[in-house]
Amino acid sequence: MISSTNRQSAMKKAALVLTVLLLGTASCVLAANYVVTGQATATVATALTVTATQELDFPLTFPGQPSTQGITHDDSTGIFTIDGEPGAKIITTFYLPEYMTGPGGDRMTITFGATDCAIDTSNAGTPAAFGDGWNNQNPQDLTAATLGADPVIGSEAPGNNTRIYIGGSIYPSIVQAAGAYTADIVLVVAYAAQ
Amino acid sequence: MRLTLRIALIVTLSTLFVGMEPGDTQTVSVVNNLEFGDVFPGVPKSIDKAQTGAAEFSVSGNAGDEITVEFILPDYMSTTSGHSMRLVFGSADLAMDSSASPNQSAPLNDDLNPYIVQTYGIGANGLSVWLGGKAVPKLVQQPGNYSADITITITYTGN
Repeated sequence: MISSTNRQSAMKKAALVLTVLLLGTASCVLAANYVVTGQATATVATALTVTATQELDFPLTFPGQPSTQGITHDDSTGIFTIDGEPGAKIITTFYLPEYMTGPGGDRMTITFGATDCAIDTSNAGTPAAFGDGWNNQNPQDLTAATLGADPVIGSEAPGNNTRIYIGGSIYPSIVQAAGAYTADIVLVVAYAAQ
Repeated sequence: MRLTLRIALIVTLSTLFVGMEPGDTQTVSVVNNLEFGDVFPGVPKSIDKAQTGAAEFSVSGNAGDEITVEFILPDYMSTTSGHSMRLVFGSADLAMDSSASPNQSAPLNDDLNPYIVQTYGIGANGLSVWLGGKAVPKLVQQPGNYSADITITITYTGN
């Protein structure tokens, strides 16, 4: 014989179990939520550096006597050295002066011809002994369309760099003021789309 | 009273099992990470959702179950030393396919915005999700390995 008190106690326990189960059911349905984490990854290559290794140096020039400096002189051809990720494609652009400035602001014309530049990607090349790359190029147009491909950072150890040689011509007038003349040659280098 | 309680218990357990069924078989996993590979300073690089390197997630579940797909996307990738690189997701960088033969090149649902919660039905072979993006390195971006978390949340709607 079950007493009224015991019956009430059993009902309370059953209600408690039911409540727990109902809450469990609800949580199962509501918690159908799945999370996973993937990754975005990238490896950034070595940054570019450009160094003006050697100035384009014209020999002593006389008024009225044009002078040309080629790209094959180890001691006077202009040299830029580009370091970066070996083998990576680059874009090179020269900003070339039209004259050099001398004493008292006197100007002397400077020009750059269609073969006054070379891009040497070898480790051992010099202006006098061109290695690999693009020789006798127009410094005003070093685009991939003209070169046939984007130039690259040299990948021959231990240098792993590219050197650009540049020459030019100067045209002193017959009344050119005597003295030293200078001008900036600016080379801009950036990575190309690989 | 005992009979009533037993019936109630059976109904409750049935509800419990029926309620758990969709979620019980549902999973989401990472098939591929979003991999940009080599990136060069100053040269943005995009990985299209249809190409190798795109992130791929796989969702499995009961065919016909409705789910929502939500991403938590990073703004930057970073190195262990704390350098950061911008990461951009466009309004059409997401694609999904619940067909029997999911096709990354021509998915059923293409050019979706990954910043918007997508509601979709699971197919017989589950659901494939692809995500592209763009890394934007600075001109002076520090060399090294960069990474960021991409979190996807799949929620069963009960429909």
